[in-house]
Amino acid sequence: MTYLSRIPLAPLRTGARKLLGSPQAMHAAVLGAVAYHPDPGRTLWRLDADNPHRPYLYVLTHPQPDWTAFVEQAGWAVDHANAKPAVAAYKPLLARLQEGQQYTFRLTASPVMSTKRTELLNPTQTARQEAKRRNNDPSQRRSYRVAHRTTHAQLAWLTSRAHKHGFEPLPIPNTADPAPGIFPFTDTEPSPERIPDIRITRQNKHVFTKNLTDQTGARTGTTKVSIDTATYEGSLRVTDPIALARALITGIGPSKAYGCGLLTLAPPPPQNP
Amino acid sequence: MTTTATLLLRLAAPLQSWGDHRAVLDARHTAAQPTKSGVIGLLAAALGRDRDEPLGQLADLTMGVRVDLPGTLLRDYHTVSDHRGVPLLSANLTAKGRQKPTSKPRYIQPTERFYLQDAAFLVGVNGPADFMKDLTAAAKAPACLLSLGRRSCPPTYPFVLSLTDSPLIEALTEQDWLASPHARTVWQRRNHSAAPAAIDVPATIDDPDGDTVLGDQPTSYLLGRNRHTTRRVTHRLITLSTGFTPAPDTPAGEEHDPLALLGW
Repeated sequence: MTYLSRIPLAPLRTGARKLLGSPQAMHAAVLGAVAYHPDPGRTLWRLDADNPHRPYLYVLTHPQPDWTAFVEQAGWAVDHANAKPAVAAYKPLLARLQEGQQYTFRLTASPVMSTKRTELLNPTQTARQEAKRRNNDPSQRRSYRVAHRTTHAQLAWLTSRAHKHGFEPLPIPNTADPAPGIFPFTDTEPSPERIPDIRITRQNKHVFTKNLTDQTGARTGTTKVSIDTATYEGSLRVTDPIALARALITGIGPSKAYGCGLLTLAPPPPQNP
Repeated sequence: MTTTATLLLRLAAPLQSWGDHRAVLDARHTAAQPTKSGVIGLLAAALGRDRDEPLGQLADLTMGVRVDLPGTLLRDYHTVSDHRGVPLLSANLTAKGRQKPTSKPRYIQPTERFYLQDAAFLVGVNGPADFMKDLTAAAKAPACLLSLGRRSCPPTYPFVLSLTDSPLIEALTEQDWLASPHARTVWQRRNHSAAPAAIDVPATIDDPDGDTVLGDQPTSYLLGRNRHTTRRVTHRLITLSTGFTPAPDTPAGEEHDPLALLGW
């Protein structure tokens, strides 16, 4: 079984502030909800802070989660319908997925590419690669992972993978209303190019230090982790229900421990008559 | 048992700024909501108390803050310079105890101040009924000019809403949403034309069993020697009716709601 949870966070509480500021702390707190399960599998989470005064945490867990400890730490400790965590079984949605269905979606991901072009590395990465080369480390023969930082590259990253994940972005309808304050587009000739309805609503960069451990678990040092994230929103059409269900459950892209990769679906927007 | 009463104040203005012990060096920050030290100080000013007077009954008041409009943060870039065109003073002293001018003369010192813009808070103050009556009279005809956290932030009318016999939480729950018609329009624009019939606003209320400790309970306002102790609070949500007419196909405030597909 798989469950999707939504937990409202109380941003003025000390515990919540700690979690909002640190993806590592948030990951640890999220895993606490499934800590007593022998094999909880991959847990995905995403922080939706559209309204910074009322942030929501979405979590996908495989066992049934227990949010009691999390709410004590960072949630609203009051008896109010909108303050309690909502937990829903994911199976009805997965079973309902069919080719041709339309949904809106949201995804926070860390778009990256692997490359051998050393000129894309920053000075720290270059120094690390040089050290590996000097030590004849076999891992230096692998490609380097580099983050996409421009909106163009981040959009291309998702659109190029959409088919693999079992969906295609819907085109923006030509009849869409103009944005407020913009004159309506008077050209009646429909554009031959289909503009996919995917937009990036938020871009973030997280930098934090992470402890390195050896095989016995002893701490051997620290390293700097740097993640560039993009939040995608748009509408999609299902092309392969199995692949989409896999993407929903296992997530998309890297940095899944740090709040990336959780794709969620919502009902499609009402059609313009 | 003495009866208690609750004084409801409306703290709303173009600018507010509530100090929260982060006034380090050249930056003056603001807390997200009125601090207890700020509100008690404001009431003491209304009574005309001096800074060196003991707090007395003001120290025992219970306070609750309801955040009707959280406002937005304004960063004010601020510079300090001497109007005579001489260098600013350094921290080094002469033999006579005077401050030396900065060597490598420095004429401008940039600082920054933070404010809450267009915020509206409902503050409830609960205490003994007879004292609250005096306090209400003083707040309506204050002895000193009142300000919302900083001297440059005067409150707007109406400042005193009511004095009720209700306990603090009921008083905070019963009061209508403080958003003005214009603020409601702005709220709708910011929330993607949402028109919910009711919204939940957060409230922070003094509670000896609370889960959060704040360090803004004042013990002394003596200039340069102001002291604070801690207090415990709980954070809760209060449902208020908005006065909007909810349209059937407009979103209910939530932009992307994955649980809508899962039977919620």
